[in-house]
Parts: sequence; structure tokens; C-alpha cells
Amino acid sequence: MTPENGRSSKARPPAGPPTTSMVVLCLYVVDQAPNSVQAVANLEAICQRHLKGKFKLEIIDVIEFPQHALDNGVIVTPCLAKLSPSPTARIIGNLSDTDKVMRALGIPAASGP
Amino acid sequence: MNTVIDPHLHTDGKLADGGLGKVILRLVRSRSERMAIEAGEIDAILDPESGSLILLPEASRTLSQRRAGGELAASNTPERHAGLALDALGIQVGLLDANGVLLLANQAWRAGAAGGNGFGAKVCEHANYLAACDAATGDSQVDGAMIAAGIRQVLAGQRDLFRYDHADGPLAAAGRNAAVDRRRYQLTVTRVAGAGAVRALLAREDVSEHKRGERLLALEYAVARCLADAVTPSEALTAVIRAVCESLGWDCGRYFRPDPATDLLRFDSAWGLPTEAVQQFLQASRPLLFRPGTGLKGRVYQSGQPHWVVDGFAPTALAPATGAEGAFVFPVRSDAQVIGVLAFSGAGIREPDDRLLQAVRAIGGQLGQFLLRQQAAETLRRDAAHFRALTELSCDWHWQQDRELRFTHLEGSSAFGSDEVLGKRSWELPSVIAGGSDWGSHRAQLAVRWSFHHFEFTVARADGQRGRFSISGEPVYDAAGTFTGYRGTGIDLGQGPQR
Repeated sequence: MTPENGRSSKARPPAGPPTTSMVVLCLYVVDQAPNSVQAVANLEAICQRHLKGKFKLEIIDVIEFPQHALDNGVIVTPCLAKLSPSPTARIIGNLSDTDKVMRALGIPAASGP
Repeated sequence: MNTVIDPHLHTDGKLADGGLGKVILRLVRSRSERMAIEAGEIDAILDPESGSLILLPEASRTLSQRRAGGELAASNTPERHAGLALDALGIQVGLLDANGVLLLANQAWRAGAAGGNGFGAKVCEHANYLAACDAATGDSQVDGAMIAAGIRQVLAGQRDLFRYDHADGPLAAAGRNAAVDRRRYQLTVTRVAGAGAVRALLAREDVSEHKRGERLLALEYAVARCLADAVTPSEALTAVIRAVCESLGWDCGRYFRPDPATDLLRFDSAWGLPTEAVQQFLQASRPLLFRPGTGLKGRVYQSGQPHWVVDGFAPTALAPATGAEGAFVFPVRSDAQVIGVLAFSGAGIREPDDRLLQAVRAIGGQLGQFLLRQQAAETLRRDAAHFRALTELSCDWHWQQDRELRFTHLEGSSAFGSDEVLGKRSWELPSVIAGGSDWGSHRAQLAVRWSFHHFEFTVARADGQRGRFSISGEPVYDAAGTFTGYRGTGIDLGQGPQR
């Protein structure tokens, strides 16, 4: 279950190749743990503001899908993985550093609503 | 998947160098990961080797709180009801998986984990209880090893039930009276094996009050045994004081009783630990006198209520010598009357709870009854000796008969030998001369169990002279009111009339 432009809680990993026009993201969290909740909120705010209509976000709960995280080399949560477009990137933490997240996602600093 | 919590990790946002902190240091290699951990922005770490999910404490607390609120179980009514039922229990209940990871815990367990001491006390859901037991150190190391072994036996199917009593909390915090003060727990581990995976159900119950009640009950029995075995009041007092001190961990005890002449409380008996300071303290107590209403002992004697000085509040006489600062004084009662006070001193004397007050009331009552019985028996012995002395001084002799009116006892008579009297009725005595006495009326009186006075009769003495005697007697009944015979006295009236 991978709805576009939205969030799928505790969903399976994304299937199929990402399109170049879309930023495909995967956020690994632990249920409603504090940093995970904060990471989801921060990421949703960034996406709504800077990637409106141009992103796919999947949220993986490692309590339910630990093997998926391990298969993708994730060992700490929250962890945001940018799967496409290249280059791929990973950000560890609660994503409170907006500039750092935007740089990793390839969003220009001057980009605004 | 195992989920564990490192108790050494993340309390200040830093990676600790012990326990699972080492594992995390091994796993986390990138600078960004390490920085995020130290900034407190991480919820969990996955260990690819063991497949464990290491939850950091804040994340674990959040998940536990959600579970406690029924949020996670809300979609499943039977589970939710089961969870609510478990939460209603006062004992701590937890379920371990085959690896010892705590899968779920009830509210009592979570509350204990939030503020508990000792090994395993801080283990929350998703943490490994067995690992915590294995990691126990110091005073808890043996208990931790025993519990871990028992749980593993249950999980392996080698036993269905494992039960273990243990003390908990730091030994140092319990002070000098640790054996009495540390909290006691009973852990029961039950194997749960159905169609699914093997589980171990843990029930951890605080049995401190129960154990304390058992100890006080044993003390009451011990006091009763002391009183049954004692021959003298002094023996009884010493044994009872010792039993109380040894059971409750107090240093010494003294008994003060009122002096009838002055009405002041005077030292009577004592027992104390065989240390120089305590023995000196007891020796110094011997000349002490207390006026009723004055001082701790005087107030207890006057009010009839227990008084105590809690350790650490007001120094007692024992404090300078031994460091013991507590005192507990309670009355020794016989019915409504206070007949003395027991004063105990030592470290570890705490404000008494209801059970201890109940125990000291029982002990004071038992001891009071014993002392009063001893006093009554002593009075009786004195009276009997007094009576015997008077009897021996008089010229009377005394006798007893059984219910068939046969003599069973004769003492003090110079006129009759025992061998010619015992077993015979008075009118059957061979030397009795039938004439001169109304034996018919006398026998009629005896038949209806009347008392008689000054019944006179004549006997033929061995020297051929006649002797005149007077006897008096009264019927004797046992406690059930059954006639058991006669007893009485006799007097030699001198030479009787010659025939």
C-alpha cells in the first residue's frame, strides 16, 4: 500500500521504480515514539511546503517490519531514506534541521511555496 | 524479534560504555548516526546480528504508556479486557517469550519498574528480563542467577512451575537491621505452552507484610513456649525479652515493675546482645527508678499504652554507647491492670504498624497473665506452708478419707499407727470401743455428707488404758462437684473412762 502524495502508516515497502519527477522517500520509525512522531511531522511539513504533489512518502514501522529495515541497511530510527531521484541519501534523527533535510532531498534553499 | 532496553544508555543523551552501550557503539559507525544518538534524536537501534530492536528509554516509556492506556488493544476487545483485568491485579504480572524478553506487563509491574530497586525492577516491556537477571551484581547476584536459572528451566520445559522468595532493594539502604527491614518478594514463574510459542508467566508479589506477619506470629508462639517452659518469673522474663529482641532485631530489653513499698518502677530483669556496650548499659539500668507518669517508662506505666522513640529522632540512653537510637516500651498487663513495662532499645526500631502493636499487646497480655499466675501460686505456696507450720505447732492430727470413707491419710497422731488405720473406716478400727458413742447417728451424718464436729469416741490403748478422742471433718468435692471423701482433724482428749 503506497499512496502517492501522502502517508501510509505501517505500510509495506514501496514497489516499482520511482519516476524522476517524483521524490520517493521512505521514513523508518518506531510506532509513536517521540522522535519518530517528530520526524513524521517535520517531514510532512517540508513535503507540503516544498514538494507539493511531487513526492511519495512511505512510513515503515520497524516494530512491525524490522527485516525490511535491516535489508535496507537501516540500524537506527528515525531514518529517512531518499530513494529517488539520484543521488540517494539518508538522514538520521527527528528531522528538526530543515536545511539539512532540504539539502539531502535536493531542494534548493530558496525554494518556497 | 527481541526488543531490549539498555538501562545504562541515554539517560543524559550520551552513549554509555557498559552493557548494551558497547553493542551500540559497535553497531553505530557513522558520525551522523552517533551525533543523532547523542543529540537524543533516536528512538531505537536495530542489531543485524541478533535481530534485536534496542529501544531507548524514552521510546520504551511512550510505548508502555500507550499500552497501559489500552490504545494498542482497543481494537481487540478480548485482549483489552484481559489487559484491564491484569492491570487490576495488585501483584506484578509479566509475560516472557522464549528468549526472556518481556512481551507484556501489567500496571503493577510498570509502576514497580518506574520506581523499583534491585535487579530486574526496572525492566519494562520489550526489555530482556533474563538479561537483567544475569547482569545482577552485588547483593542481588545470587538471587538473579537463581531466578534466571529457574526461568530457563521453565522455558525449556524441565519444570512447569518455579517459585522463589527473595529480598530486594539495596542492602545498604536497609541499615543495620537489614534482615528485618528489606522488602521480601515471591516470584512465581509458570510455563505457558499452547499451540503457539512457549511463554513464561511471571507473577511477582510483595510478600513483605505477609512475611512480617508470619514472623510476628512465630514470635507470639515463641513467647508462649517460653512461658510454658519457664519455672520462675525471672526465667520467663529473660526468655521473652530475648525472643522479642532476636525476632525484631533489637539490641536489648528490660523489665521494670512497680515496687509495692514506694510505687516507683524498679529494674527487674533484662536480656541484651553480648556486647560490652549493651551489657554496660544493662548494668547501669539496675539502680534506675522511674516515677509513674515520668519518662518513657513512667508514661507507659501510667497510660497503659505503648510508646516509642523512632530511630533517628531523639537519642535514648543507649545511644551514646551503642549508636542505637530507638526505644519501644509497652505495658505488661493482667486484665485491666498494668503490672510492669517492657522497654526495648536498639537500632532499627521503627514506628510500629498495627500488626506489631497487636503482637506486643498479645505478648504483654500473655506475660502479665503468667506473672499473675506465678504470683498467685507463690501466695498459695506461702499460705500452705504457713498452714502446715501452724498444724505442726498444734496438738491436732489430720486425716483424709476416700469416697468409701476409708482412711487414706493420717498425720500427727501418736495414738494410731498408719498401718492399722489406712484402708479402714473409722468404726472398723480394731481398737475402737463401740460403747459410749452414737456411731449410728455419726454414720447417718456421713451418709448424707454432712460436716461433723467434735465426735468423740474411745479406743483401747496397747497398754490396756483407754483413750478418748474427738474428731471433726468435712466432705470434699472435686471441681466437677463430685464427692471424693472427707478430711478433718482429731485431738487426743486424754484418758477415757475405765470400764
